[in-house]
Amino acid sequence: MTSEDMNPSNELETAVADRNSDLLQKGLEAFDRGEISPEEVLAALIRGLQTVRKRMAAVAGPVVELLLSVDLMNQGLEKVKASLPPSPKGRVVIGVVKGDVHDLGKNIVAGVMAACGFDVVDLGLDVATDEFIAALKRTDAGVLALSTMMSTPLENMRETIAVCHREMPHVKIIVGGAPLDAKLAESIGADAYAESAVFLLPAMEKIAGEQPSARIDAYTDYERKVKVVTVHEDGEKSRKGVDA
Amino acid sequence: MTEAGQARLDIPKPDAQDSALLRHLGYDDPGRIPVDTMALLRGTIAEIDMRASPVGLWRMAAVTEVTRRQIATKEMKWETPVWARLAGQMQGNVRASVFAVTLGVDFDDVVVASQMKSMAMSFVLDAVGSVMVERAADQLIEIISRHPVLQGFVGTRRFSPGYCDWSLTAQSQLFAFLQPEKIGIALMPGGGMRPQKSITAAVLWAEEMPCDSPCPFCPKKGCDHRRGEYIHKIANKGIPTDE
Repeated sequence: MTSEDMNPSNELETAVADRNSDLLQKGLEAFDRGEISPEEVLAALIRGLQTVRKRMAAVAGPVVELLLSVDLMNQGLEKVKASLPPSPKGRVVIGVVKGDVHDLGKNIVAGVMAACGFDVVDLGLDVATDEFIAALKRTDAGVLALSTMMSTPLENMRETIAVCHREMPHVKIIVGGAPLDAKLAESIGADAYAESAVFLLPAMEKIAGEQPSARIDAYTDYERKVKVVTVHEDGEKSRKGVDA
Repeated sequence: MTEAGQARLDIPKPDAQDSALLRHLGYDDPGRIPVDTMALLRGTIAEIDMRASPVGLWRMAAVTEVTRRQIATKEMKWETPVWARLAGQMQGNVRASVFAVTLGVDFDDVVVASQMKSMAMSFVLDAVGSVMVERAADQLIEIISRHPVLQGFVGTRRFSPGYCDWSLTAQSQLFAFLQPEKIGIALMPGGGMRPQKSITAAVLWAEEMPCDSPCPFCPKKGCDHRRGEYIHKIANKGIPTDE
């Protein structure tokens, strides 16, 4: 499809997928003219990001390329967000667990969540368990996202998960960060794990119940020197090996 | 003679073709970098205002004892069996230096401010900071190596609490000995530091050593930080005892 053949929705989707700012402007001008609704803009932008995510999951692409698409998506959202209904995808409380001050990864994940339509309550870094629980109760959020880049705060993460499961069993918990992998995340009680922002959306969809059967787990198998990406979709399981 | 010092470090910004920066960003092959990503790198690096220069602090002590699990100086005991195994094979006097380097709080502020503007830009800035603080550490080691008491000595690679088998809990002991607060580094309860672009590390110095890292003695196969092959023949030779 050439750009002349595209409708505004295609333009916005392709703009994010191919990191094309000219197409984004074209699509947003169509919004200004009333040719596309804010909901359609949001849906197109998310489809574009899903395309990028799938492409990157297949080839273990650099995160910076995903973030360039996220930046374009945010530009689009900035334009339409005032016209959108509040938090169509639910609310997430996010933070770096007690004992850690590395927040870039958490900020990226929070940005991707917000760009995809989640209402994000960011508690920042070095957050204690009782602060997470109080925020979940105050905001009525359905998802708790926890991050750490260090191994020592993992015990605090485990404690936060245990307290959350005990006091608010309906809240789903997603975790990420350098010392974690899918197995460790499961062992400390998390409902989902995202290795990076690339794998965030399927994990969020899984726990938010939108696409309950879609899940991607990824880890590096050092023995085989491969990056293993396991995609579970509609009950089927496929396995891809990519050079680490 | 004082075996301690503080230094302002001169670390130029990396350019967009810098291989260490590109590796941080996930590009092993510079030819694979898309045009827009390269434009982002160039634009981000050009915007960095480097008013705050990196600074380093170091202190040195004689190693008084090496056991199977520990390297000890008069004021510190480092619980790291793999590095103790290497230290046990060093010849002559052995000295230990510890140091801290930081890019300062201004750099953290730049990264945080950029997050409001562009996630991609803040990601690149964070990688730039990582490359620069690593180079600051290398430059400080070069300065330490010129100290008169180290003439005729060779140094190991640097090693930090939280890596190999040296627990991050050792940070409190290292901070008590070195006092990096003097250059603006604060220790967090979990062992992390602020400013974020800070490194604390140690280097062992000796007249002779079989290798500059304990990797040949370390059977941990899947280690991301492995710098050399495991050599079974020498792995168990000359292991110090706890007696």
